[in-house]
Amino acid sequence: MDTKVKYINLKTGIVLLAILLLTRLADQLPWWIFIVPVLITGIVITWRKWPVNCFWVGFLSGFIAWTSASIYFHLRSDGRLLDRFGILAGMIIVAGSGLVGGLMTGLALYTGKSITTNREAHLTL
Amino acid sequence: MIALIILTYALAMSFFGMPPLGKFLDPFIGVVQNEAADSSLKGISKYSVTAPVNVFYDNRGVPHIFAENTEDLYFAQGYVTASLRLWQMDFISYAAAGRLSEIVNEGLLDYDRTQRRIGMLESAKSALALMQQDTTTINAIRAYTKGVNAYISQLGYRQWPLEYKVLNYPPEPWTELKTVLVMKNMGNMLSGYEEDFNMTNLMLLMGEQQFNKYFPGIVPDISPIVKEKGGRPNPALAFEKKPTYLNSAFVSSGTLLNANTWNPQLGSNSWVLSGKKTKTGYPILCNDPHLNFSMPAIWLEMQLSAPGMNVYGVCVPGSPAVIIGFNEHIAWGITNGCDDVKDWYKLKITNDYRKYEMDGQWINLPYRIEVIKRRNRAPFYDTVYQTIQGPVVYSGSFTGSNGTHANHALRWSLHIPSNEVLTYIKLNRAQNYQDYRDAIKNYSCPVLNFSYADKAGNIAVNHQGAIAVKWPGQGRFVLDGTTREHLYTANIPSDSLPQEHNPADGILFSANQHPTDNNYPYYYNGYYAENRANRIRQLLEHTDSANVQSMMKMQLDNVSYFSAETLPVLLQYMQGRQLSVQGQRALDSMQHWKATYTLNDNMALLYNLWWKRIKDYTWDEFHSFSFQSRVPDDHILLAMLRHEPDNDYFDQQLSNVHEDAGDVVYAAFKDAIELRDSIAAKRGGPQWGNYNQVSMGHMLNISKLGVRKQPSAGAPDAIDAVSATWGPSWRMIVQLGERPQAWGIYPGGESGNPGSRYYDNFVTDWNKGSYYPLQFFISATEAGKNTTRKWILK
Repeated sequence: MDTKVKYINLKTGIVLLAILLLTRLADQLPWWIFIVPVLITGIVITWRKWPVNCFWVGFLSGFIAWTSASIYFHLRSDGRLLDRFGILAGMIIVAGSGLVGGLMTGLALYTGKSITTNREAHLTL
Repeated sequence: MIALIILTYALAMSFFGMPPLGKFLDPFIGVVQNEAADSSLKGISKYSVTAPVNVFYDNRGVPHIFAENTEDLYFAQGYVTASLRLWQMDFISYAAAGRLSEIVNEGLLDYDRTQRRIGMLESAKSALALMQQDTTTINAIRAYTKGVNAYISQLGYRQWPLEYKVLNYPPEPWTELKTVLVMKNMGNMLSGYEEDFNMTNLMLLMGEQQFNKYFPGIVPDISPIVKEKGGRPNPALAFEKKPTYLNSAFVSSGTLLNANTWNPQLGSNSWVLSGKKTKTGYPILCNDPHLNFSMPAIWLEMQLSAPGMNVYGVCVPGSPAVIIGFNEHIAWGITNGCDDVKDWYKLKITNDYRKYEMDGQWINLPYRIEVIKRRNRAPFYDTVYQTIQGPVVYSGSFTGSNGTHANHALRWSLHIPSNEVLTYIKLNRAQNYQDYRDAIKNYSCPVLNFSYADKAGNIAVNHQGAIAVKWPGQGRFVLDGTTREHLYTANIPSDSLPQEHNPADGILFSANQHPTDNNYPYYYNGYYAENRANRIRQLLEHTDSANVQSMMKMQLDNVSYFSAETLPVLLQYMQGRQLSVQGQRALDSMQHWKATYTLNDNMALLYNLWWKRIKDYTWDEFHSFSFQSRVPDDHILLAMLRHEPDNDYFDQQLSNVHEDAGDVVYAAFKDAIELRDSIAAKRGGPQWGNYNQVSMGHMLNISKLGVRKQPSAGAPDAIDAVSATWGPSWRMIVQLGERPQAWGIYPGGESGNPGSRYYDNFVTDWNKGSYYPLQFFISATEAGKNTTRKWILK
């Protein structure tokens, strides 16, 4: 992978992180609303013909965003709730949260990209 | 695209009783948001208070609410209570109404049906209708309801209490009915016991003489709440004649079964000392109600202040006012009255449930349909029949845990519409003995013993509630539902209920013992416990110049009056018995045991096992009855050990030789030694605390959210009645004076949020026997100076 591709992937990741955090500032919107801007980003990627490895970049961004947000909220508060359930249960919650965030972001980005690149192509991961 | 939709949908749904994973794990709104120690909502505005209300939080998280008028005060109480305990109070209202099927997928339909059929929801509705006629009451409940709803309206999923997220249902608006349901739930907890079926079987099996010997009413060694002056002995209180209707034709014996869910030691202590018994010359009031422990805790501590009232104490989440507490003038406490207020009537009903027999005529059997909504399923429609006695709890295919209660009507004082909320509202404002009398005079269910003290020096105790006028034996056994003669219609007048005011010796106490001696003119029965009362009397009689410290010591007293009485009798039987070296050593140590159930006591466990074995051996006959039965009270066995060593009950049914009391005591001791050793090996020593471990389970049985197995001092018979899952749920001591001084503690914490530091922060101190000084502020200014955290509701 050359430097330019790496750079584009990284840039996409940062954009995604920003989207993931900013969409969640409003309490009123449904929790899954972030997939809409992520999907649009996927469309933009095709349009601009960026060489982005969509699912994995999306997954990684989602995983990082949700995991670190979970850890942040745990640490910012007294963190007594997860502590009650022990370190293992806490890790499962945090990792599970990362998995949910990652899967949804990755799939949304990939979907956004694939619906515009090749309408005939079958959706596969 | 399809994969994305499926994934999002899957994460938004709930499967296998799990919360929907997407929302639940979302760091921005999900479970990690419940880690926040305190509600993120503060500085509330736009609410319907007429003047700003100040809520000061002290260092233990106790709210001190200062309002400009009563309605704002109850609004703020509702708001603040919801912010601390919303899920708990809401859940209790569901449980009381028989609505748990709405929030839990399955398994609770029978529970809900039972709640509806015993009339919880129905009686809450009729009680509310009564309360709506009293302006003071309904205004308070209405304001409280508005306050709770003001809080709920601010909540998004992110702020939902954890339990809502786990069970995945939204908080519903609070209603006036929910407040009444919470009060009825308390009533059910305290007056829900009865043993009519068991006593019926025993009376028929044993006959009048034997029955009265083993299951007597009033016995000699008791310390009643009130000693009747100048009365004549009422023979019905000492000896229960077999009612003439009660014969084998009435009940076909042999199949009756009684589910035994009651804990007869679920009781409480309260005592008051007049000024002449205290150091300061002002009265002291002490109260520690014993209840089943739960997390979040049963009680919520609070100060409520508005013009004309400034009160501090504990509240029940879901109801306005303070339930146990004090103000600048008076202090009051409560213990369970323990009277039998729940009776069963055997009916004759036609096969099609259209008619039932009454005084030789067949009259229509009315019914109502209870709609029980179910989560993810069609509603369940239940038919509940209603006779003039009360609801037919078990009928047709719904026979409950046992078939014997089928087609019996339940008559229960909880069904009579009454206004308990007003009693507490008035007590909160009471300034003197007249106000106190006025507050409690209409109080009806459950029967409670109110203790009272004021700064003018008065002390009082009242056994207060709706207690029916009954003929001797009425309601102790199953009644005949086919005749009006078995209905009771009047209550004992308030003036004639057991009560005492400023006695000469300066002490009054209640601990679930008999309310009177046998000079009381009315017949009554109940499920009383005498040992704690006897111990309290013993200690108070020798108390002079009492102060707060000596009262704390007394509330934490771990001596069992009964064990102390029994031990010498048992030891006498052990003289000259052959024992192993180890057994002899244990017996020698036992000689010096002072019946103390302290944390590190080495003998208490052995003694307890010993006594339990003696009971098992003695009452083995009771296990061979065709019906399930409780055994006679411990003091009956003690009397037998003292006076009737050859009583036939001591003889083992399955052995070939004839045993007497000595043989039983000896065999039990040897067994107990073995048992003690095996328990000690498992639990790391024979110390009492290793065995007496107290737990406070979360209301949803999520073990990590509860407090588990803390070694603890205390015993059911001791004043400090700590046991595995129940005990002193609020210890309070109030020293009246120019300014009241008070101490208190409860096992739990102010917050219902398991993520909060205030969730269980009192538990360790409570278990150690510590008390917190209760910060009673005279004014908002004073409260402001002594607290650091503040909310303003405007």
